[in-house]
Amino acid sequence: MYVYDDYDRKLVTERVAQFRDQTSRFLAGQLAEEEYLPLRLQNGLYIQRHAPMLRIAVPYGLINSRQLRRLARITRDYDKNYAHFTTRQNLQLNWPKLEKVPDILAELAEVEMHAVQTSGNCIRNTTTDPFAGVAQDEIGDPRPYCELIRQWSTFHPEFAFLPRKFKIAVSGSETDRAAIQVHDIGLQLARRDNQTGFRVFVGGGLGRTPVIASEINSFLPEKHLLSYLEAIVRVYNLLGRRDNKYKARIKILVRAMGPEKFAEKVNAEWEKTRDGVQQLTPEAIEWAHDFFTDPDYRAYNREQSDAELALLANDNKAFARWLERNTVPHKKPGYRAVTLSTKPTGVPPGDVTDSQLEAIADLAEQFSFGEARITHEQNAVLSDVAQESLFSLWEAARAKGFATPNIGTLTDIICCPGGDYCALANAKSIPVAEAIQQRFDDMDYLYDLGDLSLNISGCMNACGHHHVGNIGILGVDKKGEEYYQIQLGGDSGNDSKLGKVLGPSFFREDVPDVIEKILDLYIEKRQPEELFADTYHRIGHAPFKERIYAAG
Amino acid sequence: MLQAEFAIVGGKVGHFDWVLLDQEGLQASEPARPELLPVQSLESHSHLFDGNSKGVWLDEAIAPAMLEENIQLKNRLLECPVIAIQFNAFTDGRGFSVARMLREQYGYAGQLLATGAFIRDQLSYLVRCGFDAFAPTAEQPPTAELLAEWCGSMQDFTVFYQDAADGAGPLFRQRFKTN
Repeated sequence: MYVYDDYDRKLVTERVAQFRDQTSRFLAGQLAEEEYLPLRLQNGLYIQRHAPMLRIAVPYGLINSRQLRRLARITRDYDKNYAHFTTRQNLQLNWPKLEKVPDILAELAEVEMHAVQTSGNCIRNTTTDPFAGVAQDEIGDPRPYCELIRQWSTFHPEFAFLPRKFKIAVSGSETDRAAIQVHDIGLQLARRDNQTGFRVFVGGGLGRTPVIASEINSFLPEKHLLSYLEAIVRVYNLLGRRDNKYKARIKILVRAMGPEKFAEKVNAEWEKTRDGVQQLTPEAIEWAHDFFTDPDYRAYNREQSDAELALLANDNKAFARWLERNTVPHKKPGYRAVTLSTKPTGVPPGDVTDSQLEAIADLAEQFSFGEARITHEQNAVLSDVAQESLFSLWEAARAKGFATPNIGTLTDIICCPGGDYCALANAKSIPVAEAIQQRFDDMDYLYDLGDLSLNISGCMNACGHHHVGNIGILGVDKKGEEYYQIQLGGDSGNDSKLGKVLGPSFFREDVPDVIEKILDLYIEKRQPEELFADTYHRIGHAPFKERIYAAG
Repeated sequence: MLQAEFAIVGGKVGHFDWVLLDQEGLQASEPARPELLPVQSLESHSHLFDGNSKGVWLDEAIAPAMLEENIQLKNRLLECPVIAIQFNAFTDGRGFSVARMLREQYGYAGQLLATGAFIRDQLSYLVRCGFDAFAPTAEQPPTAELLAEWCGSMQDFTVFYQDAADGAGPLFRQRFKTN
């Protein structure tokens, strides 16, 4: 994990002092509301429906036990004893007091954390695969590059007032688990002729106008990473639309110019700077990698360890289920990566209490070298658990409400805070998630359905990524009434696709019935071992539409 | 056009002597007066610059295309002792890129002046992007006293991760020098 040196510490301390001064000038009436707005946003502070909301950065989702304990304490001292994991691998507080936010930031700085650029029209927290560094299909570790991007983009003097927000994601593995094709910039680590580099995608995004990104560079050597990113963002800063906030994202610019023309502009700009000081030196690349070396793994015999685990699973069906759904294979023999589910029925997806944050800290320390990751599916991952400890971890996680064996299933719902908290929302999303979890709480049924993503957003800003759920639900407002539109066929991985709207929207109370009809049709039509997404693409949209609307 | 009474130059507050003229104001231009003329007048009113120490101003909207497409104009621009970049809204960040391009790509060495609606809290970033003079213009521009307070925000940060027009160089290079 990245460790601050004096430079980093000085920067976050200076930032806290700056924001403290800005906030006191605002409270004293010396800084106008509209001038304070972008300043507070770039410190993660929103003014929400009931209270301010503070979004704390968790760079590329990586967090340690000490930080988790501090966050738990902050939720107790400054909030209502809980927090929320976001789809950008960050953490949100729902009830902080505005005048206390500088104090919260000071507390965060003590554990090498901040809320820098978690909102606003600037470069946001770079996200990546929650299994970075341990995945079996990894081409290279994305985390060193995420850190280099984090440093380059933090307090970038040129890019603090972009036309709109700007999101970068990096994938280091063959299977894209970072949804890079729905980001403003998506970077796919690649190897060519013994060189490391990136495939570069631009102009993806969800929101009002969902777009799958276009590839503008098939191999960018790693040393050029920062100058190339700078060229992209500069072209966007100069040419992106500023007259209409709904047309201001880079996806609109790329689409208007065409990806080829856009790439030409970027290359013309990049030519002027590519051999300048931003070029990454071999020392810099090595230095970044040195923060993400392997922990002190024990040597296990793979076959023996796997056999012992299989024996345990044979004896205990509940454990076997959890093992199957909530853990994944690891690059090291005798280890697995474990996902702690934040999605038992009846709890808003991604919400964690102060004691749960502390429990994650304890579990990480006891079982996974003191580190955890927050995932874009709003769960937590312990990435390095010895297989011989899995049973104890399962029991401990169960006691804390983290062992719901539903990862990757229908009830592992991605869900935005929605109308219960968010001032932008058209409709509530948490009660819809809960109703679906309640309807489909039979684990045998969920396992029979297999991998299936269901994503809910409370408005077209799409924080719940509804466009890329196999089933996507969007809250809409019609003359003051909340309705829900359902889309099918979305996907966020290598084969990213945008879902297609089924038809007219539904009342909230009807949503579970509609989902059930969709699932019934899938079960009738599927071939052996065929996943929902595959059946949908094989039989097409029409049968689903007919089943839902024709039957009345 | 709105005029500024005071400006920050070289980190200090002083009277602002330059007069900002827009297209209509060009007729009132006087040879001896320190004036900032619209950048288009380098072509349309080139005589006004002959032997006179005039500056130009440009805003975010015209700057990018102009720098790229009109090489002749660009060369004349670079000879001006003062280039002002007018911020029509503080949330419009194009001026930051234009400033860096003028300094880093075109080697502009004269005074780069920020005018218009930028705010105090942008000063540290403006400095990094190559601005060395600041004359906020508004219906109620800041007083000299207030502007003196603004100067405190120029050094909000003393460490920088990335390179910019100030030549700080990326921090990763510094880290290896000191280690």
